[in-house]
Order: sequence, then structure tokens, then C-alpha cells
Amino acid sequence: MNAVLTLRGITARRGGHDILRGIDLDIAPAETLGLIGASGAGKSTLARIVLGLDRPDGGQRHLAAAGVQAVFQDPQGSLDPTHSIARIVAEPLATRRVRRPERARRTLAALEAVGLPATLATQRPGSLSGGQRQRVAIARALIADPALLVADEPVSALDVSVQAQVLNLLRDARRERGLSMLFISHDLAAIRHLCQRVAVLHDGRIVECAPAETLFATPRHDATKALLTGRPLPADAALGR
Amino acid sequence: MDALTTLRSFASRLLWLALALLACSAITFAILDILPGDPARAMLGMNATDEALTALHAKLGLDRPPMMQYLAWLDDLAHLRLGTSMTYDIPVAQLLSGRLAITLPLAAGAMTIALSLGLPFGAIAARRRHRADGVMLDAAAQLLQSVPDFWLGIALVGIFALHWRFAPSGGFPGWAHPAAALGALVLPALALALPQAAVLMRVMRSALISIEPQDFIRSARARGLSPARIFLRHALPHALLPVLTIATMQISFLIGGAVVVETVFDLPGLGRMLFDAVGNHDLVVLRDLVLLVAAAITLLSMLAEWLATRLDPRGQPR
Amino acid sequence: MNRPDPRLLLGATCLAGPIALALLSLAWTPFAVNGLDIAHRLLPPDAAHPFGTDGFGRDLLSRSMAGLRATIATALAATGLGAAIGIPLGITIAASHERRSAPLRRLADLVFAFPPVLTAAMLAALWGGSAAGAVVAIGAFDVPVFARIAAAAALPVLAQDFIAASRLAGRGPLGVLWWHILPNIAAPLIVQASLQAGIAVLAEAGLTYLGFGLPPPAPSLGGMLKDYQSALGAAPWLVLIPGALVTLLVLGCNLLGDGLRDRLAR
Repeated sequence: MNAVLTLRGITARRGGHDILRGIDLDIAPAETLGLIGASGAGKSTLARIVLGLDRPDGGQRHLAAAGVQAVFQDPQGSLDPTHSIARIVAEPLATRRVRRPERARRTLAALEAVGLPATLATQRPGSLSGGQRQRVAIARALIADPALLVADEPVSALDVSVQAQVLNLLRDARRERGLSMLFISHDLAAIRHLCQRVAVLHDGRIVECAPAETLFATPRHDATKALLTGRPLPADAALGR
Repeated sequence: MDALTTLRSFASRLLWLALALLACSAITFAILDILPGDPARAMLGMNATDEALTALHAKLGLDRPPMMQYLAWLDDLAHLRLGTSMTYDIPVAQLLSGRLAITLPLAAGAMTIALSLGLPFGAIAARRRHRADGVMLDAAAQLLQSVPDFWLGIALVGIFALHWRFAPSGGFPGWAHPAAALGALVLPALALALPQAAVLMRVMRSALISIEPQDFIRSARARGLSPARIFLRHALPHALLPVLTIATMQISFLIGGAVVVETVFDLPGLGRMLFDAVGNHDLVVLRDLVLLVAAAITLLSMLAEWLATRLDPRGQPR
Repeated sequence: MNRPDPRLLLGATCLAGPIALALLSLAWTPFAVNGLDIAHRLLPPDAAHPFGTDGFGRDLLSRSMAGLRATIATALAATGLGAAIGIPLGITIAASHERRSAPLRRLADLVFAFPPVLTAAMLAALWGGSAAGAVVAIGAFDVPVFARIAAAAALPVLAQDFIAASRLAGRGPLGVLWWHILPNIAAPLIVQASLQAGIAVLAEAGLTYLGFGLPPPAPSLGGMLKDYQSALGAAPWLVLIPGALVTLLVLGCNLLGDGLRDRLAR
């Protein structure tokens, strides 16, 4: 198997604490890997390392193909309030010196692909709804034609009614483009909806990694069981996590 | 704060002060001795002979490598051996003491005036901000803080010295005549102080206004405390913090302003000394003088900063 | 928000006159700036000489126009210099780890120990008084001010996801700085630039008064105050007018800054 992303022995320390204690992970082409774990388990730290935004303190990260993009949790903070929607979506093209007419054409196509009207192009993020903003973020990620998309809690800040639309958008992107995805969420329904394989992050380690159906049907590790039943582990509860 | 942390923070401040003074000396040295431009040439003028230049270079130690010159200067400073003025051929230290006796009282007096005018008027302006007189007060302060202090000095001379003959228009009789000496400092101190008082007044005003809607003021009011008590015990300590921060930064403005104002009033203080040193290209005086002023500003700023942490009603050192 | 802040209007009005005079002086002044006319010396303001004439019969309006030009140019250049160094420095401070940013912060604050008059005195001793010396001396003092404001404003912006998204889109550090950080911290910086320009005008007048700035015979507002100070009793307008022009410029900058602060505040 020729993995798009390979992580080997990733460790990370933040503020004197071991956040990640040796992560091994592979994501295959066109595979969506779900990542679940209690809050504070290190999911976002791992996401930033996968994206190359932060450097791990140890271990190796290897991306088979160029290009990793992200959809972040907070649709408010992930779009620059001083830029127009068109400029936000086209930023990955601008840095690659794609010519302006070509840029404009692909921007409109990208907006259309995520179901946004072309009239939004000239507006600023401030006048958009949360769901619209997250669609813009997806359009920006997809226009760069990445090999891997990291979605860090992409729907948890959205209204329940628009969550499904955004999730379907991500699912379609994988189907149509053969996109690999690291999907981080604490929403088990969303994970089940989208992911072929699920990894459980607990206490800085991947304690269980299995096909989605297997994992949901027969969880092995206590941490997984706790997450599935919605009851925190005694240790987590004691730590106030 | 227990004794140990107090001691530790005191020690770290002292260490930082030493480092800051060292950095000040390095900056001064770098500007005066490393920047292109030959001090000896500047002193002797354009038609100096090569022999004269070489001789002066040797006398000033300019023929040594810059690092050695710097270390030699630091060594002199550490032993409080200030240089000898090239123009007057008297030790800088001797020159300084007479000058400080004018500039220090002038700056301290100006700061006192600025604080004692700025704070009460700021409180009044905050209290009466919705009335015509409060608005006028703020507008007047806005205007006053835009006035150049030395121009104000010239205007004060015009009004009080030339027109009404209340005060001398300049010069300094010396501290042997204390009353006359104080009289000679009144107008310059006012010229320096009034624009800064206006700045402090506006800071005080906006600090008090921003505190008013906060919870602890409301709860004090709900507890039925008298307005005077609320002001003194609750509002004032909080407002003093931003005021002190600004006052700290004003130390730099005051000393910079003193140089100009002393020139207006023909006071033979540090400012005049600086002015003369530049005019005479007396780099030995200039170097020591610049460092002295920079050190004084650093020291005073640090003192004020330390005072601010003690005053901080939140009780945590920042 | 519909009615413009009165302070903005008033500030712009204060600045408009002096700036117009300064610009006009580039092309035309009523009389030659240094043209002597002993027969018409110390004339009080009248129709031919709206600001009067000085002890050499030079037209004060023409000299003031040229002086304003020098003051405004110096103030703008100094503020620009301070901003150009201070803003990137402040953003660097905000972006670096506490352990590295604390000493940087301290180092920037050290500049406060050198008020413009000290730096300008040193430069004047080496090179003689010059407008460039004044620009450097005033601009250097602005560096820590802009660094502080930029650091405080950039800190929350840097944590936003759109900064991360921009890096993923392929922007380098300078691209992120230029396209995303600067536009998002512009408001407080513009306010500060306006206030600093006012302080720079004050400082320039002080430096030219001492002869540490633009050297004579070029007219400068501070230099005129120095020259005409002794004529205070005989010709008060010679002292009143240049000082009033300085005050007007500073007042305009301050009002503009205050008005912008309220307007741009979220």
C-alpha cells in the first residue's frame, strides 16, 4: 500500500507536558481516517503537525504527494475578515502565480462546487453565515487540489441543520476527487457517516485503530468504550478533562 | 508577595538595570565613535593640519581600536572618572554638578506641577464630562497638549517678564540667592509642565470614565458608600495605574523638553551643556552627558515601573 | 456612524491649511523665502504681508510656508521610519516564544532612554545639524512605540486559523505579514501613526530651535522661533505665528488620532 501520509513515532511536548507520545499512522489514497479522542487528548496538536504548521519534537512525517490543506473548526477565525470571499478562495492559486483570468474562472467554479452563489464572491466573511463560511473554507482547500485534507472538527461549530450539508460536501469531495482525509471529530455519527477507518487517540497514543464498523461494533480499548458510551474514563474524570 | 520573591524580583530588576545601562553606553559609543565622521576633524574644522589631527587622535585615544576605546571608557565610568572637557579643559564631573543643580530641580518641579494640576483637573473633567464646563476643560487640555513647551516658554516670558515684569526673562543667579534662583525656575518649569499636565489630565479623565461602569464600582455604590469614599478607595487606585504608566513615559519627554526650555530661558543646565557640547564639537563632554541623561531616564523609568507594580490594585506584579 | 465624528472633521480642518500652504510652497511663495528687503522690516501683518515681515524685511508667510514644508516632511519621514522598523519588530515579538520576545521587548524599550534631542545632538555633533539627523532621531524614538502597539494587536491575530490557512496556501512569512497581519492590525497602527506624527512635529520644532535639525538659512519653524525670540517685544507676531502653526499641526494630528480611535474601534 502506498500511503499518502505516514507518521512514525511522532512526539510533541507543549508547556512541559508530553502531548503526543509516539504516534504511528498511515492514510491510504482516497481513504478517510477518523480520529477520535477526549478533549485534551492531543488531536489538534496532531492535526497541526500533520499539516506541517508545527514541528514535532520527535518522529517522522512523510507526505507522498505535495499538498495538504485544512478545514478548521472555527468558521469565524479561518477566513481573513479583511479579504473578499473571492480573494480568500483564490489564495492558494495566487501564491502559485496562476494568472488572473484563470484564477477568477477557477474561483467561481470552486464556489459553485461547494454550492455557493457567485454573488458572494465580492462579499466579506462578516456577512456570511457559519455554514457558508465553512463552505468557503472547503472551496479554498479544494482549489489547491491537495492530496490530503485535514478537517479538524469542521462541523462542531455549526447549526445541526447545516452540519449534514457540510459533511456531505466533504464526502462528495472524496468520492469525486479521490481525496484522502484526516477527519477529526468528537461527533461519532459524523465519523460513522464519513470514515472507513477510525483511530482512537488517548493520552498521547493511538490506542486502537480499526475499520469503522469493527470499531463501533466491538471496541477493544477502555478509552474507546468510554468514548462510545459517552462516559469518561475514571482517570479522565479525575483530571477534570 | 513574600520576602524571598520580593528579593528575587529586586535582584532581577537590578541585573536588568545594569544590563540596560551597559546597552545605553554601547549605543552612545556606537553612535559617536563608530558612525562615519571623525570627531577630531569635527572639532578642529576643515582646514586642520594632518599633524594636529594625529596629535588630537592620540590625545583622545582615537588611534586605538574601537573595542579598546570602549572598554577604556567603561573602565573610566566604572571608577566614576569622567572625561576632561576638550573645550574648557576642566573635568566633566565638575561641569556636571553645577549643571545638575539646575536641571534636576527644574525637571522635578515640572513633574510635580504636572501631576498636581493634571490629576485633580482630570478628576473634575471626568465628573463633569456631560456638562459644558467639563467639555470645555477637556478641549482646553487637548489644545494645551498640542502646544510646544518652548514656545509656551517664550510666550510666558512675553507675558510675565516683559509685560508684567513679574519674573526674570532668563538667566540664573545661582543658588547662593535661593529666592531669586527659585524665581528664575518658575516660568521654565511651568512651560515644561503645562503641556504634560494636559496629557496627564486627559489620561486621568479617560481612566476614571472607563472604570465607572465596572462591577466593583457598582457594587460599592450598591453598598451605599459615599461618592467621595468610592472615589478615594476604589476608583482612584485603579485610575492611577495608567496615569503612572504615562507619567513614566513623560520622564523622557520632560528631560528632552528641558534641554530646549533651558535654552529659551538661558539657564546654564544640562540642556545648555548639551547644546554647547554640540556647538563646540566637544565629544568627550557629549559622550558622558548623553550617557548620564540616558541612564537617568532608564533609572527613573524603572523606579516608576516598580512603583506601578506596587500600586497595582490587582496585587500581582506585571 | 452616519455623522462623521466632529473631531475627525476638526482635525482635518486644522491640518488642511498648513498642508495646503506647504504644498503650495513647492511651486510658489508670495516672496522669495530668503529675499531681504530692509526697507520693509518688522512690518506687522497687512494685505501685502499677511504674516508681516522680520528684521531683515523677509516675508514671514513665505518663510512659514517653507518651514511648514520642512516640518511636515520631517514628521512624515520620521513617523514612517519608526513604523517601518517598529511594526515588523512588534510582529516578530508577538510571533516569537516568550523566552525570546521578553528580551526583545526590553531592548526596544531601551530606546525610550534616548529622547530625540539626545540622538539628534550626537548626530549634529558628528555631521552638523541636518533634516536627516532629525528624521533618524525622531524615528528611532518611534520604534518602540510602534513595536508595542503592533505586538499587542498582532498577538490575537496570529492565533487565528486564517493565518494557518494562508501558510497552507503557500504564503511565506513575509506574504502572511503583508496580506493578513498588517490589514488586521491596521486600525490601532493608523491611530498611533497620527498621534506620533503630532509628537514628531513638536520634536522637529524643538530640534530646529536648537539647531540640531534642518540648518539655516533654510527656514524652519523652530529656527524662526529661535531667531525672532529676541524681537518678542517689538514684533510679537514673529513669535506667535510660527508657534501657532506648530500648535495647529499638532492639534490636527491629535484630533485626527482621537477621532480615528473611536471610529475604528470595533
